[in-house]
Amino acid sequence: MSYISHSEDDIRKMLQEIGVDSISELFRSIPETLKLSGPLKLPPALSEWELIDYMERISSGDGVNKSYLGGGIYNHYIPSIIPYLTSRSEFLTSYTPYQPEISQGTLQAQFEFQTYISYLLGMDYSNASMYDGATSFAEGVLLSSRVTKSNKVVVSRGINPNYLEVLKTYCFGAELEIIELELDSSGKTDFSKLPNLEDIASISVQSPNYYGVIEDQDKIRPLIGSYSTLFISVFTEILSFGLYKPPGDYGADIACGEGQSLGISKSYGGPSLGIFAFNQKYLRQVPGRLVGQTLDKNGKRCFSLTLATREQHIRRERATSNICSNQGLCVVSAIIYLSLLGSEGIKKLAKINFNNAEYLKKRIIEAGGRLKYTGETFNEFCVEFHQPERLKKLEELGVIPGYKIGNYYLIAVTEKFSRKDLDEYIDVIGGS
Amino acid sequence: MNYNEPLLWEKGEGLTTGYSFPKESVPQTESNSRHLRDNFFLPSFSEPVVARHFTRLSTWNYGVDTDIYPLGSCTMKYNPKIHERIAQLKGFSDSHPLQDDNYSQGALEILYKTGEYLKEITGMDDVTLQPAAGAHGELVSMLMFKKYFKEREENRTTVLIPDSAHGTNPASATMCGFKVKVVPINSDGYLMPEVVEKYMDESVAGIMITNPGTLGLFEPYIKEICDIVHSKGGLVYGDGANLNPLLGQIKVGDCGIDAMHINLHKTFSTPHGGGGPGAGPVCVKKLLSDYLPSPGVKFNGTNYYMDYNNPKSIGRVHGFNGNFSVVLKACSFILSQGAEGLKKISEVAVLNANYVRVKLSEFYHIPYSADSMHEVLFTDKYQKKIGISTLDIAKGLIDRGIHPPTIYFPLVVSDAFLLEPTENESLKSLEHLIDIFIDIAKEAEYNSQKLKDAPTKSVINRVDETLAARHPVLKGEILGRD
Amino acid sequence: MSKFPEDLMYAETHEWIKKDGDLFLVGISDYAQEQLGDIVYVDFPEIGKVINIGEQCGELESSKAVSEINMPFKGTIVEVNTELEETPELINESPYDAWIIKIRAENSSDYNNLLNSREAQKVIEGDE
Repeated sequence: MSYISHSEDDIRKMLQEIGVDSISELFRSIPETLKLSGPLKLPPALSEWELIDYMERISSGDGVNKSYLGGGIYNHYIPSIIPYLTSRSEFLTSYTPYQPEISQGTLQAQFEFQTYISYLLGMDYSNASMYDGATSFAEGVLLSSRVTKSNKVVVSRGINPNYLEVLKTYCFGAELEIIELELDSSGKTDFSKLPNLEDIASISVQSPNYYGVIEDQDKIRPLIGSYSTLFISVFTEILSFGLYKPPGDYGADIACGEGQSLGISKSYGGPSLGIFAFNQKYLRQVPGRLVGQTLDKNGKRCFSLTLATREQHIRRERATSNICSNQGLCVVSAIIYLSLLGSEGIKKLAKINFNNAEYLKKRIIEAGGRLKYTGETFNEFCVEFHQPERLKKLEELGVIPGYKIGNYYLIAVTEKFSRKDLDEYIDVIGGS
Repeated sequence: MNYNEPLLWEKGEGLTTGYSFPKESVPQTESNSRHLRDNFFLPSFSEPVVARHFTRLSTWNYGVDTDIYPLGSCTMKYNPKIHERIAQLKGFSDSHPLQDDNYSQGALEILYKTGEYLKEITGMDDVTLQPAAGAHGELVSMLMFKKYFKEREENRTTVLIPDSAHGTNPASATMCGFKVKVVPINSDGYLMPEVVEKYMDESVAGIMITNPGTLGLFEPYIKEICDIVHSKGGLVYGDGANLNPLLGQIKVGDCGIDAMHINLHKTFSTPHGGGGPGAGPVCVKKLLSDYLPSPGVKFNGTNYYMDYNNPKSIGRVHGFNGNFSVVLKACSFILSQGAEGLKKISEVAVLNANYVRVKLSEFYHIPYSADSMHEVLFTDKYQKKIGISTLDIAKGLIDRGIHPPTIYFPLVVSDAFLLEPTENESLKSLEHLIDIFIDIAKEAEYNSQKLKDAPTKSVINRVDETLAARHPVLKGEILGRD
Repeated sequence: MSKFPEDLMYAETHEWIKKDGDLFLVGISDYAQEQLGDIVYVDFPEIGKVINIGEQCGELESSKAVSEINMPFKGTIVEVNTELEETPELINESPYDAWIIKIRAENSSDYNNLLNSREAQKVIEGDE
């Protein structure tokens, strides 16, 4: 299927105007020895219907309807209006809003996103997004090292292990040393082994953490005291801030994590939405794009990308990051989602998630299950089953019962499960 | 249509909901945690209000479906609609990244096969699909270089980068602790082997080369340059931003490139989405295979699986499996094009660029005389004499309904504009573009004030970007309602 | 042609230097501000810091570019012009009034090694 509009006649005419005899002459600057002699070895071109047929066939076994998997990507309902609006070609097929006069749609939506996210997280500002939660976290840690000129960072073992792996990769590049803090029996970060903070760039804690536990983030500011160490608050389930205090309430310097819960499909883990919010102090050190309000020539309020001098296309090797894109379309999904829900909707949805999770948690315990950690949780928790072999039966019914971590299962319960679903879970695993 | 659409919190509504809540069927659990949130307020709206708000905003945007989008170095090609339908197939869009491989055979097949296709297209030996963008792919490549030399116990601290390179190149190298040494291109716009030779020694880890370069020219000495770098033990990174004109013409692996990222959102036609998401897979030669990010996707003849057994890997670079649905769209594009289709793309992309070049050469200054590949570099040199800048030309294009090319890039040429029509523009569309550029060149001479005042036909007029930077306003004020 | 007031001295990297009692004021030339365009932000050095000749002692940002301010001779940063925090445009409007940093020279005679107005005009504008 070709998307080229030229007729043979057009091509002849164009070659004539250019003054060459053939298209291959246009490639004369490429040394002959490098040119391919034969065609690429690729499958023969498919027609549109052959393509969709193939894709439908291979995808038919993927994507499980009833899945209690979480661990950083959550199974939330996506209102139909979101894919409908984001498939508008003006959002979908535009590029970075470098020309603000013809990009106000993207710019205003991103400004609205920055505003809603700042309020939701209780932070001064948010940028216009990063690749995903893990890379956003890594960039937050790099920022802390730039600001403090220190190369040691402290992280909690409660942070999503994939995020920690990404951090390790980035720290190998930036030559930073990572010091990890273990969790206590309640599943919260144990700060008793916190090193002297003199030369520590940052302390990073995730809440709810990987095991679902709400961290005591109110302990962190007092621990930092007058040290210049930054407090980085990480999250993978942003809807938890409809029920629990956001990073800003604990005095976080940087709040970074994942926004996939805001109306973005799971899509095997990507694209998702990296969120990066920050205290005003770090404005000049922030990675990624920022949209700012300004005026046009006639004094009309409008928006444009701003503070670009931080970025690679101007500052090159001294830039705050090499990032030169954002997740623009996912930002539009998120702000549409947030504008449908608002604060009251987020609170209500968070409470539904919490109630559902608490219900299943209680029933699993009644059925002989054992919690890995005792700390309070939001919509995800970690349990050991009394008779784990029975989970097989759930899978036979097309239900993924959770994510297996050793002998434990990490179970995420969202608004997409009804009491009937939850009761069925218990019935199958052998509840009372 | 020129109307006002206020910010969400200025709409004077905001207490309804557009979300359809499920029935609450389980008993309420009360919590008395000290971590419960205090009240906060964000307005919400019914679905019709939301639909209208964002539809109105969208009409202020210009997309590839609006008209020609000739942003040089960005390859703004048409995005086939079938790709969106495929990405929304339930099996793909509902797939959770932590589900067992046996529930993900479709997704894994896509990742594996796309990797195989990209290896064939580039002539490389191995691939990772984790990087989420081109710059991310650069970072991955630099990390692999670092790991490669660490394993070999060689202390190489510097990376060579031509002065014409994208800013991401030096920024990526720096993030990996490398020092950047800038290598000048010559007056013809080429990177010369003898210059590289002068800079190349045992302290240099490698070189980052974009080919065709940011000037739109093919580097004719690419092979010689790679040989020089290799002879001193260094590695060569290829920035794949400009892969489009090479499809089916050459394999970059044959030039001596050791690692290269590919922008799927450019060459393989996935939508740019107002700035992302993109994807930046990296292809490598065998000597770097061991260092690729983990996990990789493998096929054992029956099943596809995630392979975590990569002891020398630089590690993970993305929370999960990269931007899967972007890879899916690129895979669809390769499958719908086939070898012949891809070759045709490079041919017509180069034909289109050279046609524009020839037709505009009389009106706009072309700083380099060598043949253009898929994009053409101009400057405002002729117009500057009469007080018209590249920015004015860009804004004049907006008034004529056309998205401007990339302006003030590359930095190595002053007041440049880089124009990339892509293969999708018909002859008719190119003629339209050319007429408009000629019209602007004439207006610069006879009515230059009009260009300086441009644009006046867009929803807003010329934006004061200085004000935005001097007094940053990065969020609005939402008044509480409790 | 840009102005180079005769009562000032200049560095090749486009700074002007003015004697201020025992101390010296440093700003950027009219030519430099014109090249940089609308200045949006000034990044000041730490007060009390000793910086060598030619090393960076601050940074100016326009909306599209970044430019370093370099130390005209070795010395200590005594004060920075905080007025520029809110109104960096003063550098564009009145480059020779808008001093950026105040320094104590390690060796005051270094001042005499700088370019005078005539030399500066030749060296700096000759760059073009």
